[in-house]
Amino acid sequence: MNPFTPLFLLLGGSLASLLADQLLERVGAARWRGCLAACILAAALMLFTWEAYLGVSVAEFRLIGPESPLTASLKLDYLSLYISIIFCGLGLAACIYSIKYLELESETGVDRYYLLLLTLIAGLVGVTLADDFFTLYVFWELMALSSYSLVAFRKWSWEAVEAGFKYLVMSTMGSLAVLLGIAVLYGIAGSLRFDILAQSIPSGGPAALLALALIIVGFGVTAAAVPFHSWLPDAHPAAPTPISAILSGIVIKAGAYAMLWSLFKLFTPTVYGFGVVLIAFGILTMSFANIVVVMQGDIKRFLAYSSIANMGYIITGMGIAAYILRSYPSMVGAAALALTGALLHILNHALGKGLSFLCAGCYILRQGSREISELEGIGAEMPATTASFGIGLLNLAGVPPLSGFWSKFFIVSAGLGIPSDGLLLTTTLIFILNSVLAAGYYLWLLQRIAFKRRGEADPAAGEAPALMLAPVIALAAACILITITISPVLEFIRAVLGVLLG
Amino acid sequence: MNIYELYFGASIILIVLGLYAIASKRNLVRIVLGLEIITLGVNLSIITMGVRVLGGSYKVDALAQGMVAISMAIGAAVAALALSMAINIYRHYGTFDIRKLRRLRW
Amino acid sequence: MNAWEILAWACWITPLIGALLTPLLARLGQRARDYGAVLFSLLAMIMTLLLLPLLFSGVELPLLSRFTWVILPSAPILGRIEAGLMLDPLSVIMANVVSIVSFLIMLYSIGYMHGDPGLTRYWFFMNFFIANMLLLVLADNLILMLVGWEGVGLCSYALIGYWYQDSREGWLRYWVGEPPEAYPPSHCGMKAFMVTRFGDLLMIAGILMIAVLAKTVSFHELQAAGESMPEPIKPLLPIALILILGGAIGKSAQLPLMEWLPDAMAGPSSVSALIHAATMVKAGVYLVARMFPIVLAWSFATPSVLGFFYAVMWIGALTAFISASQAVVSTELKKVLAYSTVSQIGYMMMALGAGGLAAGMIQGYVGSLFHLMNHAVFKAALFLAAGSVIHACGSRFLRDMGGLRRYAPITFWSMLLAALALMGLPPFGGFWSKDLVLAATLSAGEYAVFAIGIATAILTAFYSVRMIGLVFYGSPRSGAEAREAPKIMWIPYLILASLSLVIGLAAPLLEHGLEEVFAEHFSGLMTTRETAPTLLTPIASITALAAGAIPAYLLYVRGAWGPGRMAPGGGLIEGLRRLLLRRYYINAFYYRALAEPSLRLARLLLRGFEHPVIEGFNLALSAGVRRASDLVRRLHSGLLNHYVIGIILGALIIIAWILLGGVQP
Repeated sequence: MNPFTPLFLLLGGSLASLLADQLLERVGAARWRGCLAACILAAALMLFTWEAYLGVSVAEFRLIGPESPLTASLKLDYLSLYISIIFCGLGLAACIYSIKYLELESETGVDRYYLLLLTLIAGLVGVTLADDFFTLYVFWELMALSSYSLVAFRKWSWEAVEAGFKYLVMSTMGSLAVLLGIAVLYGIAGSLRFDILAQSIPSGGPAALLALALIIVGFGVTAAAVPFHSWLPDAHPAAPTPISAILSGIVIKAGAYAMLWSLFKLFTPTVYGFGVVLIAFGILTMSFANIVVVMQGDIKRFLAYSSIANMGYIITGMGIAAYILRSYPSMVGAAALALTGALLHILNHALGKGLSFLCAGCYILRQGSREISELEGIGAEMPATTASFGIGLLNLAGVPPLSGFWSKFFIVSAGLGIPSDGLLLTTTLIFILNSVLAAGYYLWLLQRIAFKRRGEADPAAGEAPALMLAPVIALAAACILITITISPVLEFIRAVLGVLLG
Repeated sequence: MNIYELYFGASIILIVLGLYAIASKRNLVRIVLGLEIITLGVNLSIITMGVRVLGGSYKVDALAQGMVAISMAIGAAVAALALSMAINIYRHYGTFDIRKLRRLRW
Repeated sequence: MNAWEILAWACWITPLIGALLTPLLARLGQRARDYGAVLFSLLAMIMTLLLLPLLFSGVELPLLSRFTWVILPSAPILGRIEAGLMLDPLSVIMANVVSIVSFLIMLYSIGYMHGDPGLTRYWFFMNFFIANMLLLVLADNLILMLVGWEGVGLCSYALIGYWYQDSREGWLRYWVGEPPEAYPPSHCGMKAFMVTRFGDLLMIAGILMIAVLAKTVSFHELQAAGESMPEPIKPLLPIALILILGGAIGKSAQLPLMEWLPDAMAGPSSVSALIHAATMVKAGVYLVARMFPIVLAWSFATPSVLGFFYAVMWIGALTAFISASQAVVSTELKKVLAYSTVSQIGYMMMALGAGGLAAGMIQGYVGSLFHLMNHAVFKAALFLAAGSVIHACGSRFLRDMGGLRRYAPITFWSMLLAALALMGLPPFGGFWSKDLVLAATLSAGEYAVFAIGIATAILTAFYSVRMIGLVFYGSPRSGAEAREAPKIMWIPYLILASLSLVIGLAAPLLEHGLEEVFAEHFSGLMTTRETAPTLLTPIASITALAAGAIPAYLLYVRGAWGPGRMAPGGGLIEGLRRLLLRRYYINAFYYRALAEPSLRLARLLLRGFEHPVIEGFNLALSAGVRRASDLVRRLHSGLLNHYVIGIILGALIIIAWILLGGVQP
């Protein structure tokens, strides 16, 4: 079996899903639209998990011959597997959730929805599997275009259209920055395969530095680093809720992954000291976002800003690792610890934020409003949803023993691993302060939703529909499962680090 | 000034023009145009990087040509999406003026 | 992981799952919830019973089972978090005692608590308790044991204060004590929590000390660490051990932390039976028994740690006597049993201490453990039957009971059997274990302690017969219509009472078996018991029994005295009675000298410091954050051009930084 089957499955499956949905609509079984998409996603997830279980080593796939300059290559290694599993898993949960959600929200254009969803996931998976920069760019654009369409999906709503346009403009600027960086790299190396690039870059001089800057800027736009983040608080609330979950949970992680991969693989951290830049932007991102969250009244905007803050944590973790590798080349253990924290946080945030958005969707559907002040106390009427919501928020807040605590703890202990360094110390201090503030507002949100007393008991109140509840509970169970079996997860991440750091 | 610097300079000028357009124009369509101008500039830079001197004449590397072809297609798709969104905005807001699109703030 | 380890992990996880499932089962209906909860405790019992063959199977003990949670070697702290269970004779026997008694009490609860509105909470905490108690006895290191320890403390608090509504109408059934020491259930729960907390603090300090000094907290490794202790820390070891003993004193209600147990009788009788007679209060004894081989191993290099055993022995002996004396005049049925529990645990501590001092006499160890088993059985029976009696008479006071022999024969016989076991009448189990305890003190050469033990035995016999006489003989003083308990209630305690007789009949075999098992387990540390059994102890204990029982029989059974009636002897007897009734004024002292000043100080701090300073700071902080947030969010003006300018600026900064800032070497 070709190791890259899941990717082809997703690509082909999107078209198949479109046809199947049209067929179902003709036949009159419109409620089953999206089931094929869910099955395809489940299949992709299982295939990836199977490959991870088998312990795949690097696999490569080249389109159009090995040495032709037009070659496009794909690779499969532990990092790709790790990220792809997260992407497919959350995508599957959102897909199942969508089946009922779209029906209840009376959305139009549902047949195109699953096509776009599958191409989005295909693009995301393709980004992780790409072995040369242009392939990465093509899949990146596939992902971006699908996400623009999905954000602006509700054509009848002014909010979606406005947010979609702004998202498109800003995200395209980022993609173009990346493309310019690719151009410069191409000029330096003559080919865009990652291994060739990694060898040629050190001799690139100032051009390589320009490429580095452009890559950080370009991927930073999608990864929602401040000051490139302004599209996020508008785009995530405007999208349909399962898409918000995917956007917050995995699309912005694709930015982080791309940054991680291109920075650590191409521009070896021991030579290029980009760690300081990442740390600076990471701190700026998390501080800015954490301060602005507090006054948000719309629950989805609240969660969107906190996504920005969490990306700040991930970027800071990456920055700490790069900085340690540059300034203290012997302390590889501390750098590995910081990267472990960042990678684990990718997983935790995807789970926790995806879960939070899906639960918020349940509440919004029940109440008909996105304002937190109107959602207060609704948690008591929907116990299963609220229990999962609580688990997700506690995971994000970093409450021990949940795994969210561990990811932040690893980054902090890596930062404290070299006590004499002033920059690391300050960074860690700011990180801790931000985590405390974040824990504060997550618990505040949880308290308002779950524990405040409502005036009258709503007669229409009741638990969320089963098809929406099932992915929510599954994600909550995954949070708990990862907490218990954190040891195997850390082992896997150790293998991933081997790929990144060599 | 060799050919690389010439064309690369041209692409930088295009990019700066495009950025200026996005940053300061208030008509939606002009903003999309700015985006397209940036795309143009970046594509030009890719071609520039692919220029190889062969004897007395210049040839562009096949990889660069392939990349630009695909990039242009992607650019077209983006433009199409952007313009369709602009039309939708017109339906909602009645204008292409971006200063009216301030309902999502803070 | 082999089958034994799976059983060990499963037997405490099962009641935990049962506790978590209780709210869900409650959705399905009351019967589903009730029987479901009991089912989980039944499963736990079956699993612990299945562990018994391990002791005879020839597998090398202790069997350790480790589960790793986090391993990250490069993390400066918390890099390695593991949990482990240990299966050895002590843990397996304790686990069985806990689970068997728990199951029978759960069965009893179905009838006893029937119709109570808060039953979901009850079942949750009962199952949670069983899980934590099993974790406590199976844990292989001090920290994990501490987790179980705290868990049972929480359940105890919740279950003592179960009827937290503190209804005044239910004073006769739900409260405890008489004025001026009458307490409502919620207060009793808090009191139990606070007093044991104090002991727990000492214990945590002790555990930390040991962790730092010995660099390990695992029981297995602690035993081996004795040889490699560096010299300077040796004087600190006894201090750490005494601190740990503090926890045991608190949890087992020994002197001076014993005041919470009599007032814990405000909880339901099933709770009293389970937590405060059979299992949780034994946790302190378990802890001392766990530390027993460790202290012995350390004593080869550091003889001063033997002070630990002195402390244990004397505290146990004094507690036993003082508590038994208080039981003699008590006016409430459950309080008699509570004081009796404290006293009997004193016996167990006494035996452990004496065993340790006698250069490793296994007699003391086995005697304590055997007495623990016996006591769990007959005391649980007594409490369950007492619950039935109180239910029948509608009041907890002995003055409202009487003559129940006619109306509740099964309860009568069960209580009689259990009381005879408590007194130590042969051939009941209590006789054999008490015999071992006293023999251990003799072997250690501690004659003063032996005398205290004998004196306590006299008092024990006295109050037991007094209790039986007041409840079952004489004319009925209760206004309510007394009748026998329903079947689901008397089956458990009849089983337990008969069990105490059966254990007694099989006692010589059991004793021998226990000694075999432990002698093999502790080979190298202890010598086996002397093979010269002395007749002094059985004769002394039977004499003591007669000396106590006969006067009580004459007074309360034949003479049908009421509980408050005193022999003519004037003011001296009256004063003695009041002293004992007011618990030697120790309780009043604690309230006056410790509780009230603390409360006053707390109120002062609340008004003077918390409200102005800390509240003010909190409000200022949150207001400040909101202001900052309001300011910063204005950056999102809504105009796309502004956002784009932001991107361009950011990009320029990054490009300039990287190109000019020496990012490259």
